[in-house]
Amino acid sequence: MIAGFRLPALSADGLADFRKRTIGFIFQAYHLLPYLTARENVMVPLSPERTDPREKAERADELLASVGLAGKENRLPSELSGGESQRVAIARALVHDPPVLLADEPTGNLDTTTGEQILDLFSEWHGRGKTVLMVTHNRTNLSRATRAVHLRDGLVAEDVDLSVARRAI
Amino acid sequence: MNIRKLAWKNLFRRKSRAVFTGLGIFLGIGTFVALSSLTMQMEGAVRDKLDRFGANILIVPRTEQLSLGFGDIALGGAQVAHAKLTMSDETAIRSIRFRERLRSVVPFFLTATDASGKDVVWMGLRAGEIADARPWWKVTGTVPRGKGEVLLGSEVAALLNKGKGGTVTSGGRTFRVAGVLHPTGEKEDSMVIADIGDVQSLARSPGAVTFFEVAALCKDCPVEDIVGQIGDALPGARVKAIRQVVESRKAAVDQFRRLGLAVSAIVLSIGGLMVFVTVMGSVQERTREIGVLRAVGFRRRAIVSLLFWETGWGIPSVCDVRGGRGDGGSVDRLPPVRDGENGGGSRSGDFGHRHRDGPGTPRQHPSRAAGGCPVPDGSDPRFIRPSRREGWPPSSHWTTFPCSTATTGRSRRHCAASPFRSPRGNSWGSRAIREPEKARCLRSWAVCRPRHPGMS
Repeated sequence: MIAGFRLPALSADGLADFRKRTIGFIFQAYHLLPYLTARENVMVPLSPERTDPREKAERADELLASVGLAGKENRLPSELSGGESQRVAIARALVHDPPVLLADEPTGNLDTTTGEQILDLFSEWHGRGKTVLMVTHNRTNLSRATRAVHLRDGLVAEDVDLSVARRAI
Repeated sequence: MNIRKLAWKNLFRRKSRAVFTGLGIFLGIGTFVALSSLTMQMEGAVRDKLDRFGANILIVPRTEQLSLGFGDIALGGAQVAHAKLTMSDETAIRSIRFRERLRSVVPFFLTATDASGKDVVWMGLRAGEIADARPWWKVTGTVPRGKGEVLLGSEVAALLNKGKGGTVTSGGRTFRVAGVLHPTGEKEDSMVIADIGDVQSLARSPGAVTFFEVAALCKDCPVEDIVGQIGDALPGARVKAIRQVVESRKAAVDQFRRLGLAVSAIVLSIGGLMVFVTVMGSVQERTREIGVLRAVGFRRRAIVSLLFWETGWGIPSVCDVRGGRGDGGSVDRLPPVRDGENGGGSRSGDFGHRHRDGPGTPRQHPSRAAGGCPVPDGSDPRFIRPSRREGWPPSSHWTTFPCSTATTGRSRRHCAASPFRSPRGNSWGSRAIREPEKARCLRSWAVCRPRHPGMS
């Protein structure tokens, strides 16, 4: 049972709805659609919705501005840097306002500075009430985390509440 | 951005592929349609030609064979005709119900009499109908064009040593030889063919007819029906279909139809295969992209719609392009970007669907907000496949709504906005109500089932 969803009982479409409503995915390789602009990429999850297109665009622009990409709405992914692409991916993950963000090595393809900027964004959204679940091999990323679960060979090796540890320090 | 635009954008990414695919589909469909039309036309033409190629019904007087004898001595037999055919019978034949199907009714009169001193059989038919009745004849010269002219069978011409331009005498009259028939292998080779009026006068039997040949067009009706109707019109005659002719024509036309169908089926298969390959190629080369779309909440149907739109087949699924649940609840108002200020934002470990009533944050569709935000789980009928839902009212409770013209012709958005689906499962049309008593129809009728009790 996750967020009130009993997942094994859900149909494929039920699972799709679950993902849409509950989870925003952020990938290591961004996985933006190369033929769409930044704004259109953010609007992709809204495509099946029958909402006013202008409202969708406004929503996308608002999110892009919130991740620091105002003015780059019409750029194609090929015209964006890695960090900018990842920010577009974050905006896309947030477009349905899911309570959870799942990030798979979100800084894996980025240099340290850009990676820090992405982590800043995660911190900001975490502060706004989002749960950010990040998979990483980079231990420095733990500096922002409140909880760390170490996996070794597919098994939980350690589960640390870092916020408590931080308070203790 | 919607499904169509997404498909369109992707199509334009590879213009040449889109053009060639479109061209291929267009050519496939065009070829199929053209071939089907051509086959139908040619089938009709072949049937027409065959129907024109001679008669397929023969009408002869009803006769009875009587055996003659005295004591033990057999004197052979005699044929007794109950009624003789006359020229006026043609009127009766042409008055049957399927008279439009009768392409020609040709009376024949046969008699044996002399021709320039030799006894031969004379065959009379209306001079103007000879070419139509025997289109396969090959003649040196011409067929008789009127009275006073004859056409000699090849054997008779040899017997009389006459040719085109010669004369034949009979019954004190002189006939000009208009032409000589090439050998046919039939009995006509030993006959003199002349206008029926001349032959009747030679035999002193004005108006007499030996048999009628009828050419019936049997496209939509069995020849047996025509035979029966002529039999009813002429009780004293025996009417028989020339089965061999009928069957051979039928076989020829059927063969043609089969050929046409086979070629059409092949073309259609190739076209279908092409579309299949296109779709499969599109799916395979975009596995990752489809995965991303699924991850961001696209339903399977939305993915299928996207692919279908890209191959030009998406029109029927336009009503089903809905990422939202089947509660009519497409997101009327999108959630705000910044919702932290309402003080009730989700926190780590507390990310359930919560209904937020913070000022200025219209997160929920009004219909949802009114009843509180339902917690969806496996028992929520909205999240279970329609076929597995329980509690739908039986089909006898579905209602047919007659729709006035005022309610027809609405845009497709209306049907997509409705949670209802036609029992027929049509993608569009025959659906769309929000309240059971109000039907919104795309066509002139709608069969709608009431809301599921579990739906909010």
